[in-house]
Amino acid sequence: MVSGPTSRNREDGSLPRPGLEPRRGSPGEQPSEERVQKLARLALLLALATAIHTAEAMLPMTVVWFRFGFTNIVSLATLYLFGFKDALLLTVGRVLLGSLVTGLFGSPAFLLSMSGGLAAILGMGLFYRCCAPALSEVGISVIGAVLHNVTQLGVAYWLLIRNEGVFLLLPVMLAAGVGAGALNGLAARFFIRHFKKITMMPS
Amino acid sequence: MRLRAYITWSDLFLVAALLALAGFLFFVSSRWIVSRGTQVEIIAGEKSVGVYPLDQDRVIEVTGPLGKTEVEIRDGRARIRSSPCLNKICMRMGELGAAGGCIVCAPNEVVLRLRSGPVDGLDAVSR
Repeated sequence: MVSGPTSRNREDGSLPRPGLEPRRGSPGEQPSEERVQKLARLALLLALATAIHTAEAMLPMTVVWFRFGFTNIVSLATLYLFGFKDALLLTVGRVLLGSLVTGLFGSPAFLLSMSGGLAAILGMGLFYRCCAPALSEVGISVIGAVLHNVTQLGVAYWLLIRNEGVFLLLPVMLAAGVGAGALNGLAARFFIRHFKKITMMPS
Repeated sequence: MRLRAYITWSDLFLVAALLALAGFLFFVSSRWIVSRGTQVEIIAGEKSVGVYPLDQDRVIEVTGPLGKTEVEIRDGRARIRSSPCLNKICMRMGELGAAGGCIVCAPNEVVLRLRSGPVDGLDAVSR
């Protein structure tokens, strides 16, 4: 991501180089402390999301392949704390990293995870932008979970199992998405408050 | 740490709408899914009487050596409603749904066989 020379800090009195100073925002610029902090926090969140993804993939399947989708907690929190672009990057990153760790990279499960995760974060971002105060974290999380499940079902039908019987699972996936999404939403709210408190971000 | 577990009205509305959709799909989708693209073929003796899709309710009369056998298609399933055979085993064989199978009335030489519609031109898929 952002890289550059390590010690060109003007506050230290280092030599300015007229004509050679990079513009603000270009990749050569000295990363400010805030940006480094943000980068570090995002990296930790990504690591957390990957860990949750991997741990969840190891849970035994109870009914079919239903998962609780705990990683959406971190995705949602990143959306609220850092904005949509970072949350999108986090989602893509945790699917890639998680699939590398679990060894399912490139397999159909990876495809399902990626499509579900992308749909979830895109939907959450959209509804966050349009209805944020009206819909609390619970509502946005429910939307994310439902979109995740429905997209997985659709991708499974489209690319894997060409059997319309797959859609018989739709009502169960919807209900499971609502239930898990609601719980994840509450957990995400807790996560966001706690994160803001311990990192002293402006609330 | 004190936490307000509030849920907005929009949240509740969303949840209620999604659960209603799930309930609706639960009761309706089995009828939609099962009968789509599946057809039942009725054979009398050596000849095929016809191929009928499962999503339209109808009663078909098939004439065999013993008399008339009535085949009923209803709710996406096919069964033999009445038959002039002696033991009426065919009438107790159940219904053909999307699962496939066949129902046979041996004395009257009537065979109900399930045939699914073409799936994108694929003959077989292995996983």
